[in-house]
Amino acid sequence: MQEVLTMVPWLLPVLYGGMAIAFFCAVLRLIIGPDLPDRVVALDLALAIVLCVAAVYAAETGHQHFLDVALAIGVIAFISTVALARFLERGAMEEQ
Amino acid sequence: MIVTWLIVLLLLLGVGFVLVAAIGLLRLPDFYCRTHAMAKAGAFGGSLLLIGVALAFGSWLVAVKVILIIIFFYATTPVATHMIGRAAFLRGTRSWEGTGVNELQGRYDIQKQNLRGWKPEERGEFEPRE
Repeated sequence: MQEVLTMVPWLLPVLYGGMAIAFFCAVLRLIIGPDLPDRVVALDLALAIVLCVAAVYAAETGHQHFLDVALAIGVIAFISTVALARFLERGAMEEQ
Repeated sequence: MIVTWLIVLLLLLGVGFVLVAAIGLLRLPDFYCRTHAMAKAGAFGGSLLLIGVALAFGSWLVAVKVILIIIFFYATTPVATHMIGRAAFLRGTRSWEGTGVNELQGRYDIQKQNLRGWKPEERGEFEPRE
């Protein structure tokens, strides 16, 4: 199971490094994002990257429970994005 | 052996797509372009990576769990992105100056939230929104 990932020695550093760079880009957009919707989208992508990290870590260590963590992170990402979108939309309605 | 390289390929493709999504989120000029990059490439890359993880485990229980995650992830990302894009449009987020067409301009009543049809006799009554 986890031998598959360690059979190719450069695989895990490339995976984690790529996801770290992606997370860094998302956090940078979260910081510099000129408007609130930009930040919400950046947060959504950051949570999706965390989901991927949890899945790869599950495959690396062989613990299936990290897949449940990934599922919970996916649910939280969806609910938070929808809640923030509703909040922004209601604010836009009241502003007009 | 073939399965090993298939797993490696799927994991690398997944991370590559996620990385492209993040770079697009960082580099593209306006909110709508960024959303476009992030939603499609992010969800697709995540799904590829999860399939690779399921093959690396090689058990049916994990496969069912991963399929559940993929269905949920792939079904909810477009919904969430559509909602945040709609909220941004209603909020008045400006698009990039290179954007050619805004098809909702003058056809969408923001107060009542209804969309005017494409027929010429149905247009006219709205003043266009700047």
